[in-house]
Amino acid sequence: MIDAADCIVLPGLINAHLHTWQSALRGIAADWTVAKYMAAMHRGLATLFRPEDLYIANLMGALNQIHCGSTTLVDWCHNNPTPEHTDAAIDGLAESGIRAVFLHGSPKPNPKPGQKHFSEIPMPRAEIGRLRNGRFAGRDGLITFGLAILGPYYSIYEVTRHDVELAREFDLLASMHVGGGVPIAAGGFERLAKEDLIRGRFNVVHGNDLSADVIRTITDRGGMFTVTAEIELQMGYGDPLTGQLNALNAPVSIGSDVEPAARGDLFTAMRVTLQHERNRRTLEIHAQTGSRPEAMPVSCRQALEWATINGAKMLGLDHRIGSLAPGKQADIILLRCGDLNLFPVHDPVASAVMQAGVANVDTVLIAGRIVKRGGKLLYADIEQKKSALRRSGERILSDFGLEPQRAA
Amino acid sequence: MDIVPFGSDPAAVATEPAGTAGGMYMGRILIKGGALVTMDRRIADLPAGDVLRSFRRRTARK
Repeated sequence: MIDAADCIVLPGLINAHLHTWQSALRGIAADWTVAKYMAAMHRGLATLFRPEDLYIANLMGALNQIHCGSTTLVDWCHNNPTPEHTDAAIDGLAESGIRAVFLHGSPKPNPKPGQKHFSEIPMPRAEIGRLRNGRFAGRDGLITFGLAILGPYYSIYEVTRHDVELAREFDLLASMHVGGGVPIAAGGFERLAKEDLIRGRFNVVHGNDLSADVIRTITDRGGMFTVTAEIELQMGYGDPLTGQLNALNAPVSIGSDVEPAARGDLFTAMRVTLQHERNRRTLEIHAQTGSRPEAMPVSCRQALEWATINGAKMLGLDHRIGSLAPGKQADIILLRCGDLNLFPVHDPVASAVMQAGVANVDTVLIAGRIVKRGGKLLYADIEQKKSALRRSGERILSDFGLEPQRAA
Repeated sequence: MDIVPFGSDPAAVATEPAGTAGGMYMGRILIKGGALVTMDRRIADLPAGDVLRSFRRRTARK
């Protein structure tokens, strides 16, 4: 029995895109451009991670997601230089108790003499097989598996094709970034479509500068998009695709993306995405008609769909999570209606989207297990693990030549 | 662990192993009170609070 009196009860939020391995580096990229991010994070800091850094970052990053009301996390892990790093990252997720999809991705270091550029290196088939046939052999565990591939923006076409086919061979989701520069394999999506390699279980993150034809090509073939509006706006990717996807009746899922630059909670992501799209669409209608719209172009309920059921659809898990319905897993969060920033609640959906924040998350259940109650995480060693996360971040920054400015 | 009593000892809950295969399904949890936002269009919301077990009946009626 769950006593939810004076609470808003929601399905657990689904954070559809987070680089959890960066959790120890919060705040360092708040003023970074995309060029600085690619240089300092991927070609610099990422190369300094040890397996224990992956573990503590993923454990604490996942615990924070639970704290923030996310019961499912898509961990887009593109820092897997060795199997030991990968195993440590998965161990961190598992220890947190969160439901997660671990997406295995390739690091992007500068090549050493004699090495290929990362864009020419396909996903390691033996390693993917080891994971898929090992700890991810089952499909109904709390943590499942997929591929975070380079895709046409970050790899040559032959690598993209190889990685998409590898995902299909192992029956895994293939997720890829699109944006932040000039694609390495121009026309890559058109070629994938022509070769019939876009057929569901295909996720594009960002995609802001894709043409309308390419977006439709992907959605018509069952591909789904994830928007991370706050990061896309910071990095200057262009307008988030929210409106274009809505116009196509294609599900929008959302994620928080890069915690070194922005907040990790989905309450913020919902509001940033929603208000940006309202502004964009209102201006568009005004430009077309000379008048502002009489009805709000995007609703709070749509925003809540982005953070719940649409994330589940993108993952192919909507039969298990994403809504409160019989037969689904008991992933549930409770928000306190009596808190001053929510009270009085006249419209639970509006309050959840426009007023609520992390401080209102009273209780979190994942697969029926209470992992947060009374506003507190039920994880025993949180202070000890916080110290380990701080040490990890400070060591990495120091080795990189950045001295952390300790505040707390 | 079939049902987590809401009033159970948090420390005891915290030491249980992370859920793995299966987990607990919605129909086995009772939610008393609260405003339920289901995000399921077949069911609609339950603004005055309800019990998840009743979902089965509501769904069957529609």
